[in-house]
Amino acid sequence: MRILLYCNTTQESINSRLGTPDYSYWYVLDAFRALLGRLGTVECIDDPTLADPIWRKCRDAGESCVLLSFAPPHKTPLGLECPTIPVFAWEYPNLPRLGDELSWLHDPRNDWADVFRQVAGAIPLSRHTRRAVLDALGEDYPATAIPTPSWHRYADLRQRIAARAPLPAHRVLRLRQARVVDSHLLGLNADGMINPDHDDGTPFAADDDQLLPPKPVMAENRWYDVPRRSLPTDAPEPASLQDALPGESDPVPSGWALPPPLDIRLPLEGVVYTSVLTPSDGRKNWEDMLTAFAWAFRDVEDAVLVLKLGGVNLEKRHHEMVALLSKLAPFKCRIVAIHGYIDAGNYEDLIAASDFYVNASRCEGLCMPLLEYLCAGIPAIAPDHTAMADYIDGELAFVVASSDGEPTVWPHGDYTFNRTTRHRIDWHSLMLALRASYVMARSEPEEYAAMSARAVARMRDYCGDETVETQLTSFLARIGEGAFDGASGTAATSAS
Amino acid sequence: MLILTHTTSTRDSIRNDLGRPEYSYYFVLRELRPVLEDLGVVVEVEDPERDVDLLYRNCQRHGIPCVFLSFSPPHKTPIDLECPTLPIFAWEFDTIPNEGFMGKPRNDWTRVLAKLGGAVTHSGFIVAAVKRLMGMDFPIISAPAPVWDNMARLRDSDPCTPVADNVVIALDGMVVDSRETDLALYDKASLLAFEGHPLPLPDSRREGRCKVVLDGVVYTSIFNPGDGRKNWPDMILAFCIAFRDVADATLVLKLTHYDVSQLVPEMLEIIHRCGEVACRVVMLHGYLEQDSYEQLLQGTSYSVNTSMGEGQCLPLMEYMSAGKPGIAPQHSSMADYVDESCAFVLRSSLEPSTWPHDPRQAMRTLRHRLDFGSLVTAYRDSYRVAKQEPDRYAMLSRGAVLSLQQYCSREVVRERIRDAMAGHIARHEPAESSRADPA
Repeated sequence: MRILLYCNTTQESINSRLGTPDYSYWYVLDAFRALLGRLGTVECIDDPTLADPIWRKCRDAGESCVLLSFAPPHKTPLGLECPTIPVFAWEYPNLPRLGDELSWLHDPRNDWADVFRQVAGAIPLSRHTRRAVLDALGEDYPATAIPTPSWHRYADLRQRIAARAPLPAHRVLRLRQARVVDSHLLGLNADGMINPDHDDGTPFAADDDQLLPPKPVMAENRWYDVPRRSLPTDAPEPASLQDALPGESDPVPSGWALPPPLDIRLPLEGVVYTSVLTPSDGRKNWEDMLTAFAWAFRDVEDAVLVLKLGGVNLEKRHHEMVALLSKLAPFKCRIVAIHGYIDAGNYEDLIAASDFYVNASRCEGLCMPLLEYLCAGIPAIAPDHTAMADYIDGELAFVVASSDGEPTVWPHGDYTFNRTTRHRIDWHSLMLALRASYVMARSEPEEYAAMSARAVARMRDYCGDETVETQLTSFLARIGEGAFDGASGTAATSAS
Repeated sequence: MLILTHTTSTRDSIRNDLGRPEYSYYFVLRELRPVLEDLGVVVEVEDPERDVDLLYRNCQRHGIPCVFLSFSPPHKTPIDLECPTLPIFAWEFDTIPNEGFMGKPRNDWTRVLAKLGGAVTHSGFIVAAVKRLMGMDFPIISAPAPVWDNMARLRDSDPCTPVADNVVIALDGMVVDSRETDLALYDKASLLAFEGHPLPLPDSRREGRCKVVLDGVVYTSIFNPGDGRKNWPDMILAFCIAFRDVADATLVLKLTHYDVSQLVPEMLEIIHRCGEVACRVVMLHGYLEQDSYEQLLQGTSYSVNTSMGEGQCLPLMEYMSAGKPGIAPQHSSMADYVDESCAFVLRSSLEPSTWPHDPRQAMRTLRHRLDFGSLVTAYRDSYRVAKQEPDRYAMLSRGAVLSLQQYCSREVVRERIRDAMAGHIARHEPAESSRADPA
């Protein structure tokens, strides 16, 4: 079998395309590539017109051939003889229709149902998205939900994490040429946000301070004062890691300006939370993540949130973060932002340095970083809606509550009409989940280890090579039958 | 007993003060005044620093108990009077301001309250919030504005019909009706063309003396749209979604703010974003005379609140006291009177917020985040009840009257305020004598 993989981003162009539309499809393709190689001969093409000549050659040689398009449905190559299957992520409960946006009318592909009728079938990355496809095209439409086969890719990392002390007290993350912002070095102060025009006429007299009695002293809620326990370990403390290498620097102080890229030696103390996201992508809801973290750990020194931020205009995101954190200051916990690209090695180092992954999204088409952390045995704090419903539950995560039905616009339309819905995060449950996870890491390390082990086992069932290979084989077989039975190789006859 | 009172807004200024800081204290005093008159001689003072202690010393000389009720937030309550001073304040967040921000010690309410030695607020939620920071023994009581008795005539005269039939409301002000408005003018292209400046009011608006006719199931909300906590975007958005295909559902927004010229276009923008909708949204601006106020109330099926927090919510209290079931969350002060017996209860969770008057906008408290889906569901369920289940509607209506009687009848409030004033004066006296004691 010949399997053609189409993506408009290539290995060569990915670094310059990070944060631009559809760049993440390259990562999806990359995750599937090795496994697909076991099912047939894989060939990547970045020009869809190359597909039909290959398909004809295969047909003449009696070999089946299929094109997997790693792109949003409206960018799927159409009109090919080669049976085409879009592999796509979608985070909303319904599909875009042509009339939804004025700017779409010139291109019928903006009617996704129409696209699906013209192709052989579809591989959405989640069951939530599959439901949206079937709602539009009928229950018989050939669509199957298959996640990226991420589990086996992290075998080495799992071993590395298993070899280190669980929940280590100290760790050092080393990053090559990274822009790192450290909340401890920002000089955060809520007074910095004062707008002098906003005096509301509250009286002030020179002797007010003498006249007023002191503030009543109340008992603090010291929820974080839990007995500290750690698991015995054979792993030696990697003392050598503690020393700075030549040319390496600790994070540098920064104000409103983003620090320059440096080789950074980043010591992390306490319980380490990580999230990988593009802040300009509104559904990621990083405001709730930042506020919930700073609120939850206002009085807790040994909790760190490491944010790996992608996208364009990072300076602006930095300003947003400084403004938001200023309003939350003072807080004892630490928030570290890594702006921009880090290489695959550093990415794995970051996973290995983490205790929990945090997701506060309003909707997800899959969330590959969350998937990858779980595969590596890092438990999560995440909602169980949209695509995450396929793999998040209380066994491997602290589940964040959310409510459904908040209207919103299409992410790629005119932003004029509300055409779909997303979830509204229950901020309080996110904040409490962070605290609960901290208490577990601090006082119940066995339970943490068990949760980590469950994450590994559960993700193997969900997105291990065996599972995904079985799903792909049976789906491609189904498509193959359809393609040879029907004349056109499309799924139009199944449409309702 | 002599009861001295003060508010910054007065009968003469209130029309122009609507929507400005502390304007609603005027209405609280207006409602509370008959109860206070049952308990003593009530004198409104214009300038507390000048007048209160003068009157207090005269009372002392004649052995007449005297107390000063300052209808103001603690940071604007006089702290250095000889006369026992009780602040009567509204608050809707789970933490009272406890930092002396802007270099002003009075912004720390805990210090002000410790100095004054007592306070009156409008809900059990705030009583608990204050005690959490001041200690369980701190003398603070909940005494909402006693609006229940005022509504007696309305609830008795009106059989509380769940569906309006040609109800006419006359008002002097402005009416903007979504049905008469070309909503396409409130699209994204216009917003871009105006480069961040507010869009204009629609030409279709009616101004001066005008009439509005209401039919069908009518949802009414009376609020200050300049107050971000009111969360009117959710209210309008969910309404348009719930009743996209329902022509006889109307949302009446009675806007209580001195200037709505920027806010009404924002509301129209929200309706436009929902695409074609069959339902109707009517925005009313202007002072409603008593007759018009009663017409609107009687033509209403449900009173709506989607706030992130309420100190008490006078309009909702009045409508429910008159037998109009609510659509409202069961949080902050509304938890004292909103439940399934009298309302379609909206779900909510908590989110961080700022103290509204804190110029730093520092995040120091929590407010409530609405569950949007539960609002859509409440609209649809309540519509069905209004149209098809008159018995259930009548039950909710009776439930509302009963619940509000327990919360804000004069009888309930009178007892509490009597005890609060007596206790406050009593606590003050030993302090007086010890102060006089040269020891």
